[in-house]
Amino acid sequence: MGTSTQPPSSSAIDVGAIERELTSLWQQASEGDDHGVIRSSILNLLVYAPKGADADLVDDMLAGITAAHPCRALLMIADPSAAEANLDAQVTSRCTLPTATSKQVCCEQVTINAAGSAVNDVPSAVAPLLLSDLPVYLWWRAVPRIQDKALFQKLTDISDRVIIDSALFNDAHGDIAKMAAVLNLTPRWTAISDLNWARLTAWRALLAGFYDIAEYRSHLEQLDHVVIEYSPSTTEPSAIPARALLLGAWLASRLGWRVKADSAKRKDDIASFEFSTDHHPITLEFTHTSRDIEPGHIAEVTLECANDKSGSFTVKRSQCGKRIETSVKRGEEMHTQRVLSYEGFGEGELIGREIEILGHDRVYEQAVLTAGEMVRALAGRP
Amino acid sequence: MKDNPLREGVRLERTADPCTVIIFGASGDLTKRKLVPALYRLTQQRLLPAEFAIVGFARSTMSHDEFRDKMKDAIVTYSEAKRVDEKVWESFAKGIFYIAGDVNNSASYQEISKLLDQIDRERGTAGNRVFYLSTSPSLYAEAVQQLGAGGLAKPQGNSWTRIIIEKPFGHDLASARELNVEVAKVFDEEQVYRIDHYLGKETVQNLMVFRFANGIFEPIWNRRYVDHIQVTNAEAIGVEGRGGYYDTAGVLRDMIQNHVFQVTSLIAMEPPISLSATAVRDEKIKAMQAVRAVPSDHVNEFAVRGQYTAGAVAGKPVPGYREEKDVGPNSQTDTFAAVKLYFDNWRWADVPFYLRSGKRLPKRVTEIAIQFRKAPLQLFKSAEQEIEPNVLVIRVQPDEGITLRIGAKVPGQVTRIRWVNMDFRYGASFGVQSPEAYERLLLDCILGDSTLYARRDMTERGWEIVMPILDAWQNSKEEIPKYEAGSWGPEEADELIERDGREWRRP
Repeated sequence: MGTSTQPPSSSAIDVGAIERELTSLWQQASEGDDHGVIRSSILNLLVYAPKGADADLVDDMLAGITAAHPCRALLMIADPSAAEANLDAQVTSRCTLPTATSKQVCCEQVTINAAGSAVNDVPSAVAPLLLSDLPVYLWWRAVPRIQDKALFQKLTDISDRVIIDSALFNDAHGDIAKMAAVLNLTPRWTAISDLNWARLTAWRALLAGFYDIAEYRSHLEQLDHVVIEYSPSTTEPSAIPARALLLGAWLASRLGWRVKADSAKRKDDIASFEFSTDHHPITLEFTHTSRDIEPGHIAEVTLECANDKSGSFTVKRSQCGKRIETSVKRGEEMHTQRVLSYEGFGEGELIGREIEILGHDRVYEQAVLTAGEMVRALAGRP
Repeated sequence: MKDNPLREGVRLERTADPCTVIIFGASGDLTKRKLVPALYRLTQQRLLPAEFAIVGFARSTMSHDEFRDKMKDAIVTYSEAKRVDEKVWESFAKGIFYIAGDVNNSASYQEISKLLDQIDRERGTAGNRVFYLSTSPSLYAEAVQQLGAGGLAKPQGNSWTRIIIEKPFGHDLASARELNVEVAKVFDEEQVYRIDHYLGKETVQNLMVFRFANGIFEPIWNRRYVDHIQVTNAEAIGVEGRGGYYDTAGVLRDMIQNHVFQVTSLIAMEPPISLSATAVRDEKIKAMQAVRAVPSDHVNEFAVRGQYTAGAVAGKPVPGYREEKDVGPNSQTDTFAAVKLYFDNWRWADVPFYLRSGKRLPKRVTEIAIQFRKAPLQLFKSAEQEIEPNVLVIRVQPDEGITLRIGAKVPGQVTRIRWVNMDFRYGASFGVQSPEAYERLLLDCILGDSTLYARRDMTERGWEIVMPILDAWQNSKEEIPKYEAGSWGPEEADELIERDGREWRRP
């Protein structure tokens, strides 16, 4: 893919100048090109990244994302701790190479560098640059500062969907609790995507798949014990990583389990919760895995019913991380077992998938609310 | 618990029921190039359950393991990754079985039945079956009859049984009707899935979205605004070693009567009342029933044929059709056909539909071009010679997308008009890969959705429309017109449209 860039403009954002520079890039791209250039946009993609190595990584990822999802990308690189306030912008176009059967496709990127107090001016700088009639996605590549009215909330207000990654949370329990609190207060808050939730799709699909079979569906009401094995995170080894917490919360919210406020226990590497249901209590355990897998990742999930029907349903990730195995055991007999390839999507690919979704993901929001209740139970708070 | 509460929400697509797919003619090309790779991909995408199996049935003698090895090679060869993970493959291969037998031999069906019962017990496939007829078409009737006699056609208990029948469906109207009668003796129509893989293509499905999700196009989608429609289905390849089959068929039977008519019906149909298979297919057949009969004494005014001679395609010399393997030296088989149809209904009265299809044309392209009437008044006198009609082009392959041709003013003192294309390309706007047509179609059958399959009445109607043309060509004493490989067809095709004051597009 080819890239052409104009040098940064002056210290204030001149929207008219930016639009003119973008037009100039289009003209350059189409000069001498018999095929013509396609300007194709299906969305506005706002990206917030703190200044540093992460910002360079995000810029590289944008090349792949915009190739697959043509858009106007507005990359906001922020350095709020800088002593001097500064705001400048740089315009780039990214073009795919034409082929015998397809024309060249170009996308636009405006990179806004904001330093010091000028960081709070970013929302007003990006708003006029948004392409009309197209959805706005905000990829917040940092820990979301949910209470930050000046920046995070203003950008959220102009966005149709906010994409975060709870794997980046420094305080998984605290941050999830905050998100749950906001969702509780403002159910019409902008739609949220969580890349950590997207990483659970294969797990959720395979767990759900067991109970597509009519014969097994009645087991859902018989479940009494669930174990989620995970690899602890290096930054918070004592906390249940957000991914595992969300998976457990998803099961609970989908199956109508209600966490018992005083039931959460923590002993050594095991955290457990008791849930009440319409049928009987259920214990959900989160436990460290002994296998060598990446920190924060889920190793295995087992759903068991220990009564007469006696069955267990297991989804397990292979050590190498490239496969995922499912098995159904009834008594001592293994009924089904299969191995599937396990897609390990990179961050850029995950973002690509998220920007295909419009509207609220209510199942995720309910999982977050339930996770919030579990976190409060663990902290001994009602 | 009726529904699975864990399935709710975005991202988790509906998974198919447990089932076994039994492929008749499993040693053939289609199985290894399309069917098993598609089923493998569906499994990896978690769209098929663990309780799934494939049974290959063909004459060649081989064991389960030998068939599995062949299918592994096929998946490696025809997949993008060109490799499979061994443990993943082992798990998938456990669900693949093979029976050597004869379509004409009832003992083979007893073997199939025994194996299916075993698979149901061992793999939990719940008695659900899809029989896929990928054999020679001459064996379809026999296979259907034997499935009925062997007790394999009717589902037991809560299970279901379906049959997918590959094209061609019949050789002419009489044989298509006969085959439908034979099939109906054994299977209910709702069990029958007549495949047309063009309907599985993303852009063909996009036609429905384009027409019925956008409010602005439907008001102009009719005779008041449309001058004519051209449907082009061009292949650059020749018969590719299939001369023996092709010489008995020709392009009118092989492509126009099925694929091209299916695509045309999507353009001509009225909006359905819902997206149910019945509602959509009802509108498609209603449109095709409005097609005016081609008068048998004036066929030449409505249809022309051609046969390619030696030439060059994409810079490479290629032989003529009669020089192809297994093609007779005096063959009169059409490798090109162009047909003009009229739909006698309120929407399309007097709007000609020009359809053409052929082999060894300059490039591979399938497109539908809707040419609108020119503006009623020429206001731009200085640009009078530059006024062209608007054209909406829906490109099915390659480079799927939609183009609208509009006039724009060239900057300057004088009013000059330049005609520009506004493009929407699937590949440019949605970078994700479209599913393969066979993946979509196989999954739809397993899910019980027949929207993208041809119904009995539609297959027969297609034959009814072309029969006068086929009969006229069959009885003609004239030598079939020729066209050089790499050109856009015989001169007669140009005359067909130019006589109406129009011309063929250059796709």
